[in-house]
Amino acid sequence: MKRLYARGKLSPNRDGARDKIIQIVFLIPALTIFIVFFLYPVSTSVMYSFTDWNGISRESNFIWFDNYIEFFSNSTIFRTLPTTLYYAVLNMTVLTFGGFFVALALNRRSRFTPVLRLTFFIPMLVSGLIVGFVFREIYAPVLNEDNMGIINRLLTMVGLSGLRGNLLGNVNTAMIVVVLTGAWVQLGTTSMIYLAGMQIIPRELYETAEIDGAGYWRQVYHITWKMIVPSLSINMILLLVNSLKSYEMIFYLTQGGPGTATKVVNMSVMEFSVSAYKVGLGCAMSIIVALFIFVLVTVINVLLRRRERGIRE
Amino acid sequence: MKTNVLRVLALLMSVLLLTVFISACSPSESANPPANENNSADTPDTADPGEDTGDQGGEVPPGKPLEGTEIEIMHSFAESHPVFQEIATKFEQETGIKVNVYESAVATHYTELNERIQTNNVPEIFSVWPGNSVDPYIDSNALAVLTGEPWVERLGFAGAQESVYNGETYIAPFNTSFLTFAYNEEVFARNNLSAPENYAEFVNILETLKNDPEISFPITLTDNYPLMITSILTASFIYQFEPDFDEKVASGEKRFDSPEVYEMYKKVAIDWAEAGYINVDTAPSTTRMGRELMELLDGKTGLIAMGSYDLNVINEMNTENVSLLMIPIPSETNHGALIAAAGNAFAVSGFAEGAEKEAALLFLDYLMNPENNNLICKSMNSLSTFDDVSVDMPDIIKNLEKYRDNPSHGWIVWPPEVQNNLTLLTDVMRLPAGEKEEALKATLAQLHDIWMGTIQ
Repeated sequence: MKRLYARGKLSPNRDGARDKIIQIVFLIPALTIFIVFFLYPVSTSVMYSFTDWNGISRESNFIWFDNYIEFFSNSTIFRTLPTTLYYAVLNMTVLTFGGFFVALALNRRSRFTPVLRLTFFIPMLVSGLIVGFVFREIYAPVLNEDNMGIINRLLTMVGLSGLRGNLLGNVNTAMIVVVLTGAWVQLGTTSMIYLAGMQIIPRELYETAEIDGAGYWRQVYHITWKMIVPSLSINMILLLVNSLKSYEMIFYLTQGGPGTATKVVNMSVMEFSVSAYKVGLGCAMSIIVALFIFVLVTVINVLLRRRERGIRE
Repeated sequence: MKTNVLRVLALLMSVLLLTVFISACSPSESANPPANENNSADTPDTADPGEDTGDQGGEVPPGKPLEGTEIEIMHSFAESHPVFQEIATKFEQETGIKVNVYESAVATHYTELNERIQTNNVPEIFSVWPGNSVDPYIDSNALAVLTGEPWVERLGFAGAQESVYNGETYIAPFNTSFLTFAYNEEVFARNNLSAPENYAEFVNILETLKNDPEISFPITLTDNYPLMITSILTASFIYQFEPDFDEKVASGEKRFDSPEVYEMYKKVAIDWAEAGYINVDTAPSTTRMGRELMELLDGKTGLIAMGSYDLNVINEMNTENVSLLMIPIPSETNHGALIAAAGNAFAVSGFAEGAEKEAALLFLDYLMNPENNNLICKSMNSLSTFDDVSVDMPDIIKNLEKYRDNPSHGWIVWPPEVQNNLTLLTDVMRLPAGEKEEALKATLAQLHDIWMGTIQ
């Protein structure tokens, strides 16, 4: 090697430069995808958010921050924010704990475990629209004794006719039902992330705890729960982002109703961008939501990192 | 050596990928619309209206007809696509103008149209839905003025009202859509009932049906309940007494929550539920038309609120042993009217010029002649917008034609924000009896504010 350098055929500098070129060349496809499918749309959205573009016209006017001001001054839009947060909090709570307990069950060794893991993961592969369509039939209200959804039919069969109702049409139950349906879809992913965290916990810790007299639930809390904090962080961030971005499943289940009980902010974005031909406003709304997600994720990330560090120390 | 070959291959692949991405993402001004199996044979090869199109573009040479000119019509009516193709073929034989018929998907029709406007690839004629959605196209100069075209003066009430924007005709409505009620004749006969002549008779029918042990509820409603029911009944009452309701609200002369309007909403949103005419539990529901329609076909309900679009659902179901008839919406003092509006319309591109524009106007006139309009409306199970066109329709809607001249249509042009927020009325319906009235007043006031907000 030294001889080659000495002959000037291959110098460390030339080799390094060539490596860099190769690295850049290999980066080009990914970079192109990033620019074309992410950077360009995002920068275009930012640009449109300062205009009154209606989505049709070939021209638009620069209107500074008018769209951003409208977001905070329009009560129809602003009302969707608490609903969105409510949905996000419910969704995160259900899935954080639900996913954890499912992962605990799947972490046990049994010959059915692979099948069960697959079963929990399959809903994630189904389109949100299909989920909405199927579950709307499952939750269908009682039109008469021959015509009702599966849930109401089951309640009738077990003699609980008094509990029958219109789950998606009731202000008090609609959001809960929407969250539970979303949880059915996301439970697989959440539990798989937990499961990955659980499987790297050394068995010795459990054995030691058992010798010390710790029961199952004490082991779960003091070992499993605390050792999967990195998985918890990932899950919480993913759940938060997914919750705040939710649209198609909720739209198909309730169309934001009854009233505005399940109307999340992305429905308003679509409503203004598509139905009201205010693409500029729609873009401004999307950007505000994205910034909101960014801030929340940053805060949660910092808090979780601190917790992770505390546990490690 | 091997490594170098791999590096060169990698480099080539990267360049190739980059080229593919760049070419795929750059807008192509002469791009054709996506062809599908149904219309691949007539996929248009549309020229950019802004480009020089040789002997087909620019001014029509004097003395030379439009023969050889090629235009495109873009529509989203799957059931009528063969009819449009047939008409286009006949037109080409008679005039020598080639019309490419392109069918877009109904859900993405406007998206595709907007994209084609942005990329200078607009079809010369395209379908639009009358109402609020037309305004932004006019504001964007995407629609040509059609005032003075020969078919304009033949338009009936709904068509004439809804083709005009800012004093000019911009769209050519060719069929009438409507919202009204259908009833099960067998259920009515069993209860010695006949079609109601006014609102009092209508309520009497509901009261009678309520006592029929074989049915669950007298009336069933399609999804988006509050939107439908307020549109169907309340608007019928509003426009019987206030034909210019929209203008008055917009100008601030009338409030949306005025006492008269409140009374009308109260009848439907509170009184009907209290009287047991409708199932409150299913009222704010998202169940689809099919489920409610099965109720009607099975004789478990007497009436259903439905629109002309829903006729297609009925056609797809087995209705051989069930006789259904549609009736107009009863108003306070008479048979009432159809909540009718121009259902679908065509517009000529505001960017079309020269021979293409002339050919487009000629073809539009051809589409609107009684013979072709009849064919189109029949393919859609729909009434015509022209008084001189009587469509050979199924019995279920045939009797509605006589109400076409006196439609009550205003709600169609309510601001979309108001229409979307009519769902707020579901909250009112589900409240305890004592709280409904106050909540209704508050909701109507909120809807008024939303309406006013759209004007500012």
